[in-house]
Amino acid sequence: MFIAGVDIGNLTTETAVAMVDPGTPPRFLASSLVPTTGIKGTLANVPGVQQGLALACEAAGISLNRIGLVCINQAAPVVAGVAMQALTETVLADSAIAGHNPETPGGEGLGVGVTTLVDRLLDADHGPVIAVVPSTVPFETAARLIATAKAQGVAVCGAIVQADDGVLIANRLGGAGIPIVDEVMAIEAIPLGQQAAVEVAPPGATVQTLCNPYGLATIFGLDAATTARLAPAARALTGLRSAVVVRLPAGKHQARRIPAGAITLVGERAERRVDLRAGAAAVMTARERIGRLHDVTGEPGSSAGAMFARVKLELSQATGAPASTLTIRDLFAADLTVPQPVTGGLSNEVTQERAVALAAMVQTDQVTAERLAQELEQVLRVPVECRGTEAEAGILGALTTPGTSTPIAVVDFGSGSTNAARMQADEHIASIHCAGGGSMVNLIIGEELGIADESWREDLKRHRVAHVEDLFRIRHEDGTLQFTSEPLPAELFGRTVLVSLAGYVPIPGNPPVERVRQVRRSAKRRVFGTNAERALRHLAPGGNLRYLDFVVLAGGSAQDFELPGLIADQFAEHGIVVGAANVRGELGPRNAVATGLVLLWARQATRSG
Amino acid sequence: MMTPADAPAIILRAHPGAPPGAITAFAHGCEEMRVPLRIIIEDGAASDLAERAAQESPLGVGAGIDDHGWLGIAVARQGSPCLVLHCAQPDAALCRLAGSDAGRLVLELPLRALAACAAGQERGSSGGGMLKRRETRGD
Repeated sequence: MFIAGVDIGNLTTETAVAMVDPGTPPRFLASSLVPTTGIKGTLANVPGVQQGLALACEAAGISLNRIGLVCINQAAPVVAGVAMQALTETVLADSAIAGHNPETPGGEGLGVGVTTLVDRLLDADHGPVIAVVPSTVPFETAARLIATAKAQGVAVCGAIVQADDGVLIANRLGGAGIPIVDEVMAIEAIPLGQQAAVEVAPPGATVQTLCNPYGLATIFGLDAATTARLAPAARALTGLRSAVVVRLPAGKHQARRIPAGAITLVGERAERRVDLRAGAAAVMTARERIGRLHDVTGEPGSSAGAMFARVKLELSQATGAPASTLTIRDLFAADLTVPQPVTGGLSNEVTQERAVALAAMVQTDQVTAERLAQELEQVLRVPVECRGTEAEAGILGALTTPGTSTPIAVVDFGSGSTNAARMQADEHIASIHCAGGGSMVNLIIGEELGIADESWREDLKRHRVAHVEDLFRIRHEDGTLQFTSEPLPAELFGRTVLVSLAGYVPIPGNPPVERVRQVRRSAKRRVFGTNAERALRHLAPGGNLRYLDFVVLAGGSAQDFELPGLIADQFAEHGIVVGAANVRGELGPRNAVATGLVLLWARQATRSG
Repeated sequence: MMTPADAPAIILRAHPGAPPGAITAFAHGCEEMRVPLRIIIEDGAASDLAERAAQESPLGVGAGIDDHGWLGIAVARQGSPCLVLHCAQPDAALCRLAGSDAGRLVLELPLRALAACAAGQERGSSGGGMLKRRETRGD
């Protein structure tokens, strides 16, 4: 008899087709993998299941009507949502800044004076001045105007230039020179007639005075209260080669704070309200202490509140169940730092601000899976059964990995959630389903690198990066230097690129290779690593990880080029054998549940005689 | 920033009939990047001049401007020189960007003139900017 096991996942539908004769082990003939249609566990899955079965049957060389039984998993539909709440924001009071890293600022040193248009320098009658040079003024003209003013006794102490002309102007001034910050795009936003400071550090160095609050206080003669208000400006300029700070009349920019919002976790043991400003650790501690989670609500008006409402609405629409009957079954939080625009900045300055990312999971009952089985039976004209839990089937499938034995734990990292299950030597199975998966990793990578495009976030998670050193050399992220026989495209020169099957693709914003690698690996540790640990602690005898023996990583994420290594490193100290599954010794971490569904049927058929 | 014959520098080989404005703008681009430049006047087509200049340059980066106004930039790091930019009758702004890119090739910074050339291509400007592009696949 031909049996098909079908595992409908959040992203993919996997099928295994086998010949099963009672009393003998199943003989697997073919497998398939297709995208899941609709939300997992809903009637919208039918076209995807049909396609997967057709592909597997074709590969097995049999027609669909020869399938005697289709076994599908009993997984309840799960919708996971992610959201981010910024906790801090830099708003400049009493100052405006232009801090950036133009590749070629002119001159060196620190200059303090009153901002004055370059063609009005001779009108200045008030001590030292800072020349402001719009791009409409050619560099030769700007240099001549500054030189003339200096010759006539005007103390020109620095310049702020819109075009990329800093070196050209400095070279034509000669003498001691003045610090010149160039490529200040929003030069029209520089307030004229205000006290300002310009600092350019020597090559290879960073500004020393303008990034120091007390340096600013010294320059501008500030009292303690004003120094405190200017501190964010100093912080935003740290690590830059050149910078400008312009003092504004008090009250020009008013500091304000973002309400961080709060969430309320309702559990079997307690109800806890957590202010998100306390960070992810506080959220997860509350989650742990309340026991089984009954629901979570977010403060209305905050992004957390909006996320919880959206997740429930999405699942309500997919299943037909009223949103009021749906509850959040798990919650996961992670800290991150996000580059945020500085309010009051003049050159798109950003600072690293604190934020919390949240993942929530909503689960319904099993009824929809039964309805799906009935619908499939009508469409396929083949008997369809809901058989066994996903955890049970997943473990049986994972046990086909060579070198494994019971007791065994399986961790399946999905896009929205993480499944884990453990089978003891007596074949008793316990399982846990946690919020947080690949989507949250994407969110963290994108937010921390300042990349909004979702396909870019996914690519950055999946691929290594490299730096194109010149037209013939690529430095990979592990330090390996690769020489090419043909010159690389000139547009890749000096760029950080994604190393993918599609070729080398320049990454938006050209972030340093080290930064991309650090963010990517850290995001995987923060989500997959943390979730694996909390799931395995839940399943381990006495919550002690040392009592676990074999841990197998299954699912699409286990194919990630670095994730199995990261997880294995994390648990190495506990003496656990951790690795990616190799289902049936040939499929890698894929098809564990589909294979397990067939094995489960065969086992039950044998037991029932 | 002109240099003696044996000092590290980008070399620009310019045809005697090359537009003086193009040469000056290219030199300004190099100067802004603080990379020395040496100019040699010689007959030839821009691409040939650029490739020869790259082979002669101690920094491995050369440029050529011919009497028809074509501008080329070449790199010679391993074996034969490689033309990385070749465009027709660039205006002063593009010549300045090309000079800046020649400096960027030396300093190993991302290039800027390519985007401007590509925009010229899309606009269908006379002669058309031509970019040297090659399909390259990763592993």
